Amino acid sequence: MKITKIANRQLLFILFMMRTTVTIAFLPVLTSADAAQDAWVAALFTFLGSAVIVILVAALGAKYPKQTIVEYSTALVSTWPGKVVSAVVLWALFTIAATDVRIYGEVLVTGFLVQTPLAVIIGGMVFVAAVAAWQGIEVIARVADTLFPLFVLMLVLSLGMVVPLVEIRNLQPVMARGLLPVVRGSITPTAIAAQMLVLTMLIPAVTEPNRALATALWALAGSSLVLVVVAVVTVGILGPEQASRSVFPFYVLTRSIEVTEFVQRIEVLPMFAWGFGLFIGIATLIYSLAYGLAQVLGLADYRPLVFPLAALQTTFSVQAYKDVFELLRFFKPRVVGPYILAWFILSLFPLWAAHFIRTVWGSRRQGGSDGQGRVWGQILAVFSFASYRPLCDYQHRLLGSA
Amino acid sequence: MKNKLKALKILVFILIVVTLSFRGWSSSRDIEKRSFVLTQGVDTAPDNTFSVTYSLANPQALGNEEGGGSKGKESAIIYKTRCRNLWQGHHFIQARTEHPLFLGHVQTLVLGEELARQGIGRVVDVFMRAAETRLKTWLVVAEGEAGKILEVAPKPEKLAPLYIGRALEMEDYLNVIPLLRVAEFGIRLRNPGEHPVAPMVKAGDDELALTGLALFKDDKMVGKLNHEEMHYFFLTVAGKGHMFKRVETSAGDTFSYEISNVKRRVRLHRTGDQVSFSVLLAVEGNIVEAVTERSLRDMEFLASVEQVITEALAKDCRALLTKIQTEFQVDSFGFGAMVRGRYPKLWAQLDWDQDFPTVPIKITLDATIRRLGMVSE
Repeated sequence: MKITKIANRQLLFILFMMRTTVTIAFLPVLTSADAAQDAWVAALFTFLGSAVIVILVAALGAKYPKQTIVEYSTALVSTWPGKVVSAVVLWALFTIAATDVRIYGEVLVTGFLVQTPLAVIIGGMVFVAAVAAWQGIEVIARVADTLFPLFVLMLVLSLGMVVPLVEIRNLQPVMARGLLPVVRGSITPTAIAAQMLVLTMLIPAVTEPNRALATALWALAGSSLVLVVVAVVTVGILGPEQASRSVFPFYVLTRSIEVTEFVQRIEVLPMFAWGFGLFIGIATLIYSLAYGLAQVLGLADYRPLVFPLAALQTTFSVQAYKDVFELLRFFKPRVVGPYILAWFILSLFPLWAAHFIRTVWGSRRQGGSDGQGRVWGQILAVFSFASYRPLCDYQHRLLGSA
Repeated sequence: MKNKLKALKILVFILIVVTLSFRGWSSSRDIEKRSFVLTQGVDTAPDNTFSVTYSLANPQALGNEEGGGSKGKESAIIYKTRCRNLWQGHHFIQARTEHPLFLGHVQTLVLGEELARQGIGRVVDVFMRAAETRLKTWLVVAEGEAGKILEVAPKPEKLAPLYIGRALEMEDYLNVIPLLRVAEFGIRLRNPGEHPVAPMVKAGDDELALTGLALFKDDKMVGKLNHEEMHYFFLTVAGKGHMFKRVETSAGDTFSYEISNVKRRVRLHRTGDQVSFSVLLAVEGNIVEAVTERSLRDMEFLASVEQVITEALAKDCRALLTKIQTEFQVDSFGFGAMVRGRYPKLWAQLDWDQDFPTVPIKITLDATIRRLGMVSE
């Protein structure tokens, strides 16, 4: 399949918008655990954890700059294990896209379009994103170029207007309960960094793939900065108790803003920004999913898969979570942590191991170390599957009741 | 063939869009088909029920050239009902109106005094939980029944339900009271170490007056301050200080002092497991009335007048503090939040509601005269 090229700048915009929309939507640093007034510290920890994920994803992709994960996983761990690994990544992209758009739909139904069926809102957004995905990643990137300044402007406006209302005493005491609540609060937003798995499909499309890791880290840094500011502002104004019990704290915060007598109810500004960001994110995810699935199935073109996948995604998004409580329960550290950890254990871990073995043994000849690297990768893939459950149990014990 | 297929696809797409649009039209809710609730009043009623009063805008009565609405038509329509919960009351009133009720423009939420004393947590929760309501709605407590407040039609205001909200915004603009809305009330209700307050209003024959401040312990009203005490409260708590103070010197000279600016600083002190506070108020103001034979150009005399003003204001502030600490025993000032923020381990040991009445709080006030008006003596 022909790969169109996008600039690193456009990749940065895409990743920034994709990450920022979800993290500020329901502010997982605050609502997923008990970080309370230390949510902004949890946001700092989130950056560190997410950076590890980005490095895991992007560094491996940069070593195979002209190949997607479907292609280099096949080369690393042989055909069928490679397809299994690719399937895990594609499933991850599918789930992420469905969950992101479900959150957006829930906010719209809760706060704005209370009578509109959820499927209509989700279907509308997914359809538009699918049209963009059908056009290709270059079109999505150009749209991101256009929407990024608007996205940033609306965020800046919404945050800038409320900063004077922040009360420092709501952010105190700082770290009085120790590190554990902060770590618990950082697990869910770190897990959400699994969105960066799109890099496994996008790195070959970037004009400078060797700089893809740096680009992704810059996007992560920008979105983490936004997350810290939003956490500070939200807790500083609403207080830790009111903010923690809100389903969508940032939305509640913007409802509390009154600039002048005639400028009120400006929660539409962040909703616009969110809609733009979500569109870019969903379009990118559908594109990556269709492209990857086409490669797994050996198809000549990914386009015939776009709309069927969009339909599947809409259905999954509506059906996967019974209600908003189930959605929020999914984002509890105890649930989302092990689940997303599994994606990485079952996909990137064996690939990294195989790559490491190939590099150490230094031979790319057929049947030599290359073959041994594949064997070891297969062994490690099986080990990953087997070790998943014990790792989950250990994580549960570590997290306690989180 | 390709072109025909493309044309067919476009036609199908257009048909789908048009069909969906028609469906949307049938359930549209245009602005002309909404009933705007401008003020909401809630009182207690027998048998553990609520008495809910809505004041709805009557657009047909507005916009008349003579002003004040069409003849014979009120600018606002009052609906009352009894109900077990607020949303039930909403539906009872909805059943009596032509158009769907819209809560997105509620300007003021008026709560009856008896309801306030019993607890208003349920009412605040409804407002915080609903997406349609404005969190910037003013929350006031009525002296007596809330329904009476909604029935008053003040002469200066064409749209009576807007009067309270605009009057309170003017008080905020004049630096008399801060913004005290549902959002602020709900936030303070949840934050440990502080308790909310709400303005009190009283209905006359054709006027409404801001009469004081209701103090809440959690969601129950435990006391009220009169108008003057309210001024001193906000002077101490929020550095809001547009008020007038009349003082008399020992020589019989009288002055009226208008506070124009306040700088406030609160310091928390800790000695072992005991905390204390010192509140420093630097007040600036102008002499707006002087009855004296002496010249205010005399700097010594001016300093002595400043001293008299300082002592008078400090005395009133201390009296208010004592009243709130000993009589109402509620930390409406928010001092507990400071302790929670600075000394969290100590906070965990304290029972602030029990300890606050005996916490030493020292108020130090320094008044300065900036101007004498248009007369220099």
